[in-house]
Amino acid sequence: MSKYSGKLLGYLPILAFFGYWVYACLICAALTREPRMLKLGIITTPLLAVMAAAALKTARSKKDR
Amino acid sequence: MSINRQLTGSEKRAAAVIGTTLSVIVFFSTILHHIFPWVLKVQPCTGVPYTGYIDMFLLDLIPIAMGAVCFYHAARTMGLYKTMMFLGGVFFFSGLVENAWILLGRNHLLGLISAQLKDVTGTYFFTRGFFWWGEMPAAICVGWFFITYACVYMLDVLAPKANIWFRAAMAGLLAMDFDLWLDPVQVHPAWQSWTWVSNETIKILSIPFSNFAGWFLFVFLFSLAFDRLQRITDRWGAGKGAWLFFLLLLGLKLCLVGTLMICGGAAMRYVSPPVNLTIWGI
Repeated sequence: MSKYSGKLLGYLPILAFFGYWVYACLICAALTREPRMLKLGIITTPLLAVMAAAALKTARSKKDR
Repeated sequence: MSINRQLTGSEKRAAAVIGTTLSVIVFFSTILHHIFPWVLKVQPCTGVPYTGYIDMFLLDLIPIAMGAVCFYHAARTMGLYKTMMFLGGVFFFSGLVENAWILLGRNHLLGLISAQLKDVTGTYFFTRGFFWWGEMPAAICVGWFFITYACVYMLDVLAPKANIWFRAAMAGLLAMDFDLWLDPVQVHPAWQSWTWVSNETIKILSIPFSNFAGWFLFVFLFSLAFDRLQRITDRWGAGKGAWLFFLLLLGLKLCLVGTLMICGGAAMRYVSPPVNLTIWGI
């Protein structure tokens, strides 16, 4: 458990935020049954880009260690 | 990466006081909201979906789970004392700001503070929540905790050497970007997680502009304050440092509410007809 959580540790805040984005924005938007609410998600592209960049940098820093 | 050192006595006391205070406030607020709704004039949630107790409890568990993940990360990397300061600070900061905003609007008290706000019809209120923190669902406070924590963390990862002002501003912009989708979705008739009753003259995606300004300012100011915590505790110790940190948050909170009121008042006075920047009619 500790080895597994140790490997994952650096990603946890990003995963938590991404998980909430999936639930509170993506799934809830889909459940409104209005395509325009889903399309509005494009507005959060910068946030997703930052999440991806942070995850990539975390992965690289683990590889370098 | 992990911090294994033992907490000092005053760190333990500060963490215990924060944890106990949070639990007591949530316990009494929850009872007040559900059993004595007339005390705080809780708005009826007729027609709001998912307001059964089981639904509300299960929906609360989602942000609480995300919060637990970030709490674990924070405790492993910063230690329990700083984690409790972050959690307690966010609850205190967001709780007082949002409760003040909700209750001032609900009781039509904004006009007493500034004549320019006398025509404001209200602010907003939350409809759904099992656990409460005043008139704000505790799950929303938990949301503030992990969103602020994750935004600050991602900026620390991506720009560790950048100036704190830059990192705090970028973290604030990230949180605001998230809310640009979150708010329109959550106020949609299919969800109605909160309801805007504001007649503010500047809106973005039909949501009052002050909301987005509030998101930016909240994360920006809290990041700046939390960055000072180490220096405060180095100088004043864990116990007195905790009080000073919360005092700093109180000052920043007054700045935040004051800024929103000044900008809101100016917008009410000078922006006519009202402006609403929409995309696809949202």
